[in-house]
Amino acid sequence: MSSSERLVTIIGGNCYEQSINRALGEDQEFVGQDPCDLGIFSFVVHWFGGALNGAAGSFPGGYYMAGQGSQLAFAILIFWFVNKQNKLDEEFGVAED
Amino acid sequence: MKLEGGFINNLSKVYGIYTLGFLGFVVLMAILEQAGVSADAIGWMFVGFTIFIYALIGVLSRTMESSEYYVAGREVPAVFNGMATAADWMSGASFIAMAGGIYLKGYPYMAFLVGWTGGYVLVASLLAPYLRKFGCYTVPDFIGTRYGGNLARFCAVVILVVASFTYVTAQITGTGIVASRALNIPFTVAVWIGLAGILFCSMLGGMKAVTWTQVAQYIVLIIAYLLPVFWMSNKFDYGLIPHFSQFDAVLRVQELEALHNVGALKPTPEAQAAAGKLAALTVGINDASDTLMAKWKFLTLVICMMAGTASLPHVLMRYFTTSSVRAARQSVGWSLVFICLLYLTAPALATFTKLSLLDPNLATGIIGKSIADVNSLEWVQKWSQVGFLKVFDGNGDGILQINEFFMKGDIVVLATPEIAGLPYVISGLVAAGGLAAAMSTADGLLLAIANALSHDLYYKIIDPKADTKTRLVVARILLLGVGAAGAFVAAQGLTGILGAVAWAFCFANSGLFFPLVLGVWWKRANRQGAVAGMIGGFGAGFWYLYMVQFGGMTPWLGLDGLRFGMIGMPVSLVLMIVVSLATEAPDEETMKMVDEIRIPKGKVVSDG
Repeated sequence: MSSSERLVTIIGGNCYEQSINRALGEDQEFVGQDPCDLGIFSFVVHWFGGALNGAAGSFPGGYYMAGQGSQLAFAILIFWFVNKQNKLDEEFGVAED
Repeated sequence: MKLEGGFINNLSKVYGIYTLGFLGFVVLMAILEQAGVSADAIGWMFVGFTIFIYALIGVLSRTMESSEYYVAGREVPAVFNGMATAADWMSGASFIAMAGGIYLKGYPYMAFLVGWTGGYVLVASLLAPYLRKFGCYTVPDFIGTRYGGNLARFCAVVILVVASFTYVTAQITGTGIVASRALNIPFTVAVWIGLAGILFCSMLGGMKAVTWTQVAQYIVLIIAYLLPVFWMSNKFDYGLIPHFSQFDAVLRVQELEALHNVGALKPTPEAQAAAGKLAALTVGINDASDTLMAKWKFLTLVICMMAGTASLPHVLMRYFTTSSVRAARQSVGWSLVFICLLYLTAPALATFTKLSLLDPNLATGIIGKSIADVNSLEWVQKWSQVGFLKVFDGNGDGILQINEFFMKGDIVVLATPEIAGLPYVISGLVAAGGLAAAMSTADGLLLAIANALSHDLYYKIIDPKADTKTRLVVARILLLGVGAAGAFVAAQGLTGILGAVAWAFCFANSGLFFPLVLGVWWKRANRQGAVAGMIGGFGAGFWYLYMVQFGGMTPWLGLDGLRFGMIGMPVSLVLMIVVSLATEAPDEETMKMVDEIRIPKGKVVSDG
């Protein structure tokens, strides 16, 4: 990875991890994961928007990711995250009755 | 007539009937149009009927109970809360301005789409469930209780008011634009009519009325946005579903852009002077530039819009109305689903409209046709008259080149039905949709402002002994006052919609993002740190915006006025951390409270 690419992935991932590290025990690692995935679809993918446009033949990849791909990824990400978080809450006995 | 109990359990049926009723109304208007009823009359009926319905819901939801006025009694189911949030969220910026922005500026403006959706992931994971558990009525309420003391609360109120007021004047402007076109009345008058409609929904029933009105408005706006795009995709023979067919259309548009010399052919100085603030198309739809600056600009716009989403009080407030922490989490997911229905469609709309205008093979294409022919088109005349577009023969050859057609981005949505040759009833529908979008957001914002002023400033700071009745009366008076101020500013016609909205986002994220996130996730964050973070971040951001926008300072690192959160946020973060660590830790009780917030089980931490 070039240094600028690495910088971008770090911004997406670790920055959130730092501030979340002080959270309650078992949630820590898990909650940090969600913003990391977020970082990938928000920043990393679009950094390469130009490259994506030429990637799969004539299909406009950069346009696709900004106009559809990332948005769908976010929606799926939220529901996946919510389900896992609820399961975690139940597992540790802190879910609502 | 009270609507609870029976109402909550019958939401699907009620809104199902409403949707069918609305579709029936659209069909009726189509029949009337065929029968020869004038376009103006149809416009009046669309606007009048929809505003009447919203006002009716507002009246039916009236309440004198504070938990209903502030948080809709906390009984809104996740899916419907998601719809209401989507309407609250999608304002004139999303409905009217965004497709136009993508049309004129191409790929870089799609950063708004990524930022405005990605922000919800932050809301779901970092904030919404925890604020709901906390049980506050407003965002300053959370800040004030979490950090203690009136100063922190007051700072949050100020930031909320500045950000929301900036945003709401843009919405009232949007309402005015749509109403003035649809009703054929002057903009300055339309603004006040729009305000009256907005206030009718929010004054009597507060959050309860606003929530149920927003669900109704969502249904109108999504039908209004989707229908023209589906129609165009099929009319131009690209395919049944525009979200899939748009990619072929993009490729065709890129061909046409090359054909018409988009980018190479810029307006002559004379032509631009005649066009004033209107713009010609000079940027390709999918020019994802490979320069570092272009990538950085995309990245920073995404960051600012995402963090702003997670800091805007009128958005966060929408999750206080759900029935549980789990419901709050799911509601964020549903919000995004309903928001995506529109956002996934915006690029398709921009693309198909561009196709309509640029493709000489289509009857609707105007670039390359004779200027006399173009000027004889009804929609060209109509929109020229109100200053939304201009045709100017820069090189005197009598033919319309791409650099001779100037437009305001907003017509991409508002005029598309006419541009694409769809029946006028669709234009009426789109006007109703734009109105629904702008009004629903304006309602949410006005409520956020008035509630913060009445609950946080008046009740918690000025007169903690005030009884419920007084508090609610104060809230309503403030709603009226702030609304009038917003309409007054909007009537001056100072702001463009997208720009003002971006500013609102940056005001919010500069001042509130880190105090909110660290308030939930970092026990050691204390009052002094929060106050320093809010004042410092907001101040730095405000200063930077002023210097770049009015003070003539060259932007640092290419960060223009849309991205000033990139200055405000780091300042806020650093100050919060440094000052918190430099002063004493919060007391035991506060630390325990922060732990409590993170656990869904148990009762709310604070209640009004």
